[in-house]
Amino acid sequence: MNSEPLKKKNLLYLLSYICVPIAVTAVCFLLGYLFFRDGGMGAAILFMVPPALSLLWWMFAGKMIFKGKRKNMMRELERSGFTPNHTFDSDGSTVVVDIEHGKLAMLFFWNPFQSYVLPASRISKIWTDDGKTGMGPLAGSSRVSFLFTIDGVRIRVNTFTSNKRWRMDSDYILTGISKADMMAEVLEEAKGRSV
Amino acid sequence: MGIFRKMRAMFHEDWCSLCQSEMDVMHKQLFALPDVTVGHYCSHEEPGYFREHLVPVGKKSQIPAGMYACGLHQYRCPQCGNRRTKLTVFLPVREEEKIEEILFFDHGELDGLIYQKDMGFAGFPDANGPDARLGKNGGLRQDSADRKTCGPYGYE
Repeated sequence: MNSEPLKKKNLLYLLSYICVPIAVTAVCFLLGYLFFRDGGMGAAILFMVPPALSLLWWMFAGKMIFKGKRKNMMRELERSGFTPNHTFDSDGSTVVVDIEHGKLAMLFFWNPFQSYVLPASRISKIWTDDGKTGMGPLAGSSRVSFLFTIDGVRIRVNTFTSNKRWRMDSDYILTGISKADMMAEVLEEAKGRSV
Repeated sequence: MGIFRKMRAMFHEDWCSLCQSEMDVMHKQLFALPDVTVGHYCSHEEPGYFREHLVPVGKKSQIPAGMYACGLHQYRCPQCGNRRTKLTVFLPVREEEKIEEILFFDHGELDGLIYQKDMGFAGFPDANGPDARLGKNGGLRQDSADRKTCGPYGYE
């Protein structure tokens, strides 16, 4: 189990994820400018390939790293005797709850190299946010999530997100609320069983 | 029997399909469907599946969040004695119900469930009980978030 404070973001990883492709592209542009002023195959490669690779990196690399690390974490948890009674995968994090032993494992998208296994008793507050805005017939939401605080750090796990606002009685919102309520109950139960 | 009454009967599920009379509700019962949770719904039409998996509950608050439920209504026609069972499969979400499907059984396929009801609600752990979330085998569940991206004209 981890006793160190929870870190949702690894600043070094976040900055390098964004800046390294920019730096590599800039260096390639500079090399292209210095050595291939008259054009040619070298110039084409140096000016076109790095931006394309950077785009692919930003679009897919984060998800691939996160998925790989999530698999590693699940394998490690199994080896350590952690029972993953309920696993919830979201875009920004993965929460795994061992209800029987009152434990909780977490991995964050922006801190994928560090997984956390904690006793659920460290959770101080658990609640659901249906993201409702507006009143009466205009009420709607574009995000539903469950939240909890560990050592004062608030963790939000989305169960539904959209770029459009949906009515509160739409199937998407109801499913999101149901998932969020379910996970809140799961966390409450794990907390209750935690020593 | 008037043709209009027959047409109207098509839109009234509690009207007798034989004589178009309004049927009486003989039994009403709420069931939990512990094997089906939110995000994992798949349609079943065989009565055997429901006979095996439905667990009677007293009230909706006994059903843990994220678990599907079924409402059973048994109708009987006071004129011709015809019987019909309506089973509504839904996901209870706070005060709302997300209805998945409504099934009708006309040959007493679910009668066993009604008699089971009289045996009490012993088979289901309470929503706040210690084993409500673990299921029968301490099962492992996996869920994920949903994302809905719409274009500029993405209406539903």
